[in-house]
Amino acid sequence: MGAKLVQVTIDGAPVVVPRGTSVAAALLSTGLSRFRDSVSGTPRGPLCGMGTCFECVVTVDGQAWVRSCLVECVDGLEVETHERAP
Amino acid sequence: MPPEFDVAVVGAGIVGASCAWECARAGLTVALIEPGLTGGGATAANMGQLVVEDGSEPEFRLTQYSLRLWRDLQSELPPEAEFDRVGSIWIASDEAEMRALERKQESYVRRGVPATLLDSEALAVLEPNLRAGLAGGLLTPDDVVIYPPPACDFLVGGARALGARVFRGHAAESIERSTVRLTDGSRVSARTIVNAAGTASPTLSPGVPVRPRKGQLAITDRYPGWIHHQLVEMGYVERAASGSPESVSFNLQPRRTGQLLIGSSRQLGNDDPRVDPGFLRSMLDRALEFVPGLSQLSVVRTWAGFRPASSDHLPLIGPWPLQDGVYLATGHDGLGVTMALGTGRLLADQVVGRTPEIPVEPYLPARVLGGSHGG
Amino acid sequence: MAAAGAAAESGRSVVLVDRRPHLGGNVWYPVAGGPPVAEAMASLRRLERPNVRVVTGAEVLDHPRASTLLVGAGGTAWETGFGQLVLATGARERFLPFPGWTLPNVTGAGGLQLLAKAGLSMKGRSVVVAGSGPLLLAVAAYLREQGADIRLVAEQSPNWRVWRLAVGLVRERDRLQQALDLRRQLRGVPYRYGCWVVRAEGDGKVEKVVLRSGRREWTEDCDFLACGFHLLPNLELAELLGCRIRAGFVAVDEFQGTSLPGTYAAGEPVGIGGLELARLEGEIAGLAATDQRPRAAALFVERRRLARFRGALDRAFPLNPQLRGMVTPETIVCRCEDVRAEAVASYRSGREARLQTRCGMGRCQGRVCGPATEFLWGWNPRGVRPPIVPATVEQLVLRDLSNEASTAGLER
Repeated sequence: MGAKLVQVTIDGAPVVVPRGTSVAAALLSTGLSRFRDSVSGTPRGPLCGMGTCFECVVTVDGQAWVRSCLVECVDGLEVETHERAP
Repeated sequence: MPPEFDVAVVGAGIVGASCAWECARAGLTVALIEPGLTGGGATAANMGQLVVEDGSEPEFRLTQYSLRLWRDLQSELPPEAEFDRVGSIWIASDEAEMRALERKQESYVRRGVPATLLDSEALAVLEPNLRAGLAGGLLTPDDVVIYPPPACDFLVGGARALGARVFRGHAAESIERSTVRLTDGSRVSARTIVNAAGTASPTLSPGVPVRPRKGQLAITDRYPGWIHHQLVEMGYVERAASGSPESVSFNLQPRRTGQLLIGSSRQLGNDDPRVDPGFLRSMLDRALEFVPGLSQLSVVRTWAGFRPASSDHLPLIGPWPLQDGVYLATGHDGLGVTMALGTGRLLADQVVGRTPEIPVEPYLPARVLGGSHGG
Repeated sequence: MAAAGAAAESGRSVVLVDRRPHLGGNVWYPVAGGPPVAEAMASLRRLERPNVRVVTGAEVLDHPRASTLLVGAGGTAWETGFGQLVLATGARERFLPFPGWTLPNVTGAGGLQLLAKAGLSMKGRSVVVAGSGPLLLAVAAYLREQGADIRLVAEQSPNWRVWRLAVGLVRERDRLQQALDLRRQLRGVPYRYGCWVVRAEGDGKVEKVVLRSGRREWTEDCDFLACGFHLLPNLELAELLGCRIRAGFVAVDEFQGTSLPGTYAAGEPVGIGGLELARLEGEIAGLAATDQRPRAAALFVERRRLARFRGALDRAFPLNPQLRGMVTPETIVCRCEDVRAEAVASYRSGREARLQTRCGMGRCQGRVCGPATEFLWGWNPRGVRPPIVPATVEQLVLRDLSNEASTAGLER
């Protein structure tokens, strides 16, 4: 990948974003708004944007409950949303 | 002036709540006294296990009796109490512990408690997140997990529905002859007073041998299906019974939410409510010996609580000879939730003079006072 | 950054720990893949000394013993000792519940700005900005600059309060200029006072919001609702350490010293007062922590001047009690545990509600529902316990002490 772009995998599909994009922003930019389901099954997405509210949590490189607004996309990062939640 | 109530129960933890309910069901007028939240003390802090324990014959009888009462109550408990028959697996790390499990199984089966031995393969099938190389386990499928505060609330509600009055917001300061005096100066008078104040019971009844035994717990985020049964190391028995004032042992519990509750630790005589980081670390370390994958799970909260530990690993249920008209229902150590319903029943039996379903002698408080008080 | 920069000039070893991948905090955070913000350059340069270590993507988890912090980053954790400590933990937005607030694409006001900076394209997206506080204007202006169609800015405070603030700013040329610039950037965007969102609606994500102003209610279509009600100080670390908290902020003396010797606090944890004040307080704290008190004292006059703004903010934007009426019985109050208002309204205290319903027991550790329920029912959020942010068992156990991060711990 060129210096300015990186490729991550979101729910198995490759997505190319500018380097430095947060995982949350990358997810939103694919048109996805439902990052996960709440405990009673309601759809959720980012709220605070700063790592405080834990609404934007997804699975990153196999680790669950990671705040996607605090993680930057790097080549090869694997992200799973509720579609593939463990 | 006749006393206002037949019974005043001091302490609305799960044991006190059970006593209040059983006394109300027996037709007595009941006052229930609680300075803070009902179920806000040890009841709120503990793991909510309902298990049959066979450390001694009296311990076994009371836990089995009480567990039967819990099962009978199951359909009436609110959903928030999360009554779950998850079963427990006792884990043997080596052959010596496996032999101990075999003896345990015999003892359970002989007394009608279902218990199945698992070899290391069967153990791995049931719980894939346990590490390889364990000797085996003992499955007791009837063990239950509940979430205690709503269950306690339910019992208080039951007592209230039968006319019990709850006095909230002020602690009981002293007991004098049929009267409980509260910190705001008010008084509650009752023919019989039940001291179910847990770690505070010696304050109201000097000489009661109950000391705080601090425990710490950690709860993870949600990982449904990570384990299926409550897991306890066999070594727990030795560690808990050894008399050593401080110890940790492995105890992992799946909650209805999919969260995992990690325990357990014991520090006798410690009343510092803060989580001790060194102890927390030891406890988590011990857990990793059994479930190494736990290292990647997220811990969202830790807390500490105080078990009211008696001097001889058995609760004190019955008349307290040093104070007229006073009964004790305390000293349950780590088995307060399990034993709560049986305790309430035995306590009410004694107050109204009913024949208890199990022998009550081993729990009588008189035993700790030596020969001159009988019992 | 100011504190670390000022402290670095003493020659002592300084560590700066920040939760995000880059420095800058909420205001100076760089755009994804872009250079540092121009205003931040001077501060960043001061950190380029050999005695300064910057650790990003890291959070304090615990204070296990005196002069020691447990810091977690990237799945691992290490203990670091310290001689002096400066807390500059910043602020977060206050969120208030209303029907539909949990729908995806309902974000904080600052929240949407941060997401935009982090790479979310706002071109052509329609946005309603709502809630309260000067942040709303800054956010609306920024998003508009990025190509968003700002439908409306809804400020719950009545106009006479906000105008009084503006009048008070006449003495502060810079701030007044800032405010006028913002208004200019938002020309054509309706700005309504005494106005708030009563409901967000949509299928799977927000598609429109219902707003109320006075007796009028109307609907705006939007792709995003950016809604936040002021800022709240992040006090968890200060509370964990045992710093005295007064009226909801860390109590500090004139050198930004807290009630704990050797521990200082600066910025929003001390009072919500804007960027300039936070930076100056950071400077004072960094100087005071490294025996540069005379230089710190020289900044007191300027701090006094900037601090005047702080009280004015509170007076201009108090929360209207009618906002409590936004909540219906079915409205989720605790987002982590999906506890609805009807489930908790009968309890007399936050602790009781928590024990019975799990409200506040989720992974945000009460950071969202705590302030919300405090506003709704006066509940006091309870104290903190470690870890002050969720941490893995591996991080808490510190088993592998041979890993690189822990050996890179610092000398006093």
